[in-house]
Amino acid sequence: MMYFMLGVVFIAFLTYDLYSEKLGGASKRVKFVYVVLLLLSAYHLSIFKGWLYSYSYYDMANLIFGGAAESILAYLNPKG
Amino acid sequence: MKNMLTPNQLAVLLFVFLTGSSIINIPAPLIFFSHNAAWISIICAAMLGLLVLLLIMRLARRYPGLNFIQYSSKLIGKPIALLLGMLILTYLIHMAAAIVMDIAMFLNSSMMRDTDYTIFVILIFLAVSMTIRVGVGKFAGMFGLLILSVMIFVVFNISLAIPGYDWHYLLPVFDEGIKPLLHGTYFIYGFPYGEIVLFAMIIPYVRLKAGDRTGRKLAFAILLNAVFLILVTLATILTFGPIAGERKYSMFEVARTIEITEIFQRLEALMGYSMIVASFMKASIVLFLANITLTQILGLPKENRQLIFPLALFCTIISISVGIRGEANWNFIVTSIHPLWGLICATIPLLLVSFVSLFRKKPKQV
Repeated sequence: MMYFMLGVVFIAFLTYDLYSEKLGGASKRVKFVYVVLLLLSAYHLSIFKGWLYSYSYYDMANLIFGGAAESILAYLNPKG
Repeated sequence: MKNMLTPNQLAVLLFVFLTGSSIINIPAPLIFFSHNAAWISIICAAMLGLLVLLLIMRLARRYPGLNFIQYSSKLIGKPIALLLGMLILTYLIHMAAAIVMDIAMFLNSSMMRDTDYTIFVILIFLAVSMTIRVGVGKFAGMFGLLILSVMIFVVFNISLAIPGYDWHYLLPVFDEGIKPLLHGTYFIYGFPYGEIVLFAMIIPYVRLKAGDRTGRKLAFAILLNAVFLILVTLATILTFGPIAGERKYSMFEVARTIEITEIFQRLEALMGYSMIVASFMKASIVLFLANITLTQILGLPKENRQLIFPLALFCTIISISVGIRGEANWNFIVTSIHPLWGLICATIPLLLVSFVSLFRKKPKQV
């Protein structure tokens, strides 16, 4: 059901953007970012589905902020 | 000019942004961290929020019509300003995903247990992206009425729960020292007061004039939010006492305790409505901010709507994929990483830009 809904929404909005928002005539920068965002979405969907074992958005956040957040927590809540 | 805001609309948007999902979600974890000093944590964090507002308004009046990235470019150079913009964008994407995930988890755990949470995430982001497409002027007007209904139901809920309050539950305070208070302040600064920084991107939608009292109206919005948060936190403590920190979706749980002469009961439905509507409004504002931040980074006109859909889709998939590392990991992200993320990606850039502005001449007003 989830994939069906995503597919319907994707087709509907892509069609709307191409015809109403004139995506076809947009600058190269817009088209590039549009494709990058769609690819990032596909990447995260692959991780969710289990086809790809890689770092997700929140895995990166954990990697960057996790250590410092744990230290702050250890100071503020010494009981654990 | 369409899609401009009045100072009153901006204040309403700020109130919606601050109150949105926090009124239902904040009390339980806050009480878990600060125990009976939770209401004091709110006061401390609200004071910090007012300081943040002071900095934002100072920069907004100094550079009228410019958003955070635009005046940062003038102050610290375009490359660093774009980097700060990217940091803010990552924070906004996380916020949008987290807020919608929160609504989905609430619906899945409280009301519609057999429905897959991904359906809620997709439908909510669909509604949010269609809302922001109409423009900030239109949805700001709509949100005023919606937040009024939410606050009426919250007040109704707090008032009708009074028979169940035990005033002894307010004590003791500071039984474990000051660290629980600091922990609570850290948490609630991250959500929602530290997020005020993001309003530096939306202030240019208001034509600031001398004597319009925009700053005071925004400060009033913050104070009103703090009052409501204190009221709901106290209501939760007074109702549940020692287990208040364990009752997720506090106002929903408080509403479930209300039963007056078999007429006033099952009021949790009103709180369910309040939670969903308030979080939807906040998610809309956040996704709108993400869109204008992205268009500003790319140097596109601010009315550009071509990237709303892919941005919303990306946030949807991020939100759906949240649960793959388990609920404990998600709780850690929301309660511990989120405040730090906001501090590094929003508050520190604002402080940096404000600091640099002290050493630059005020630009000539045309």
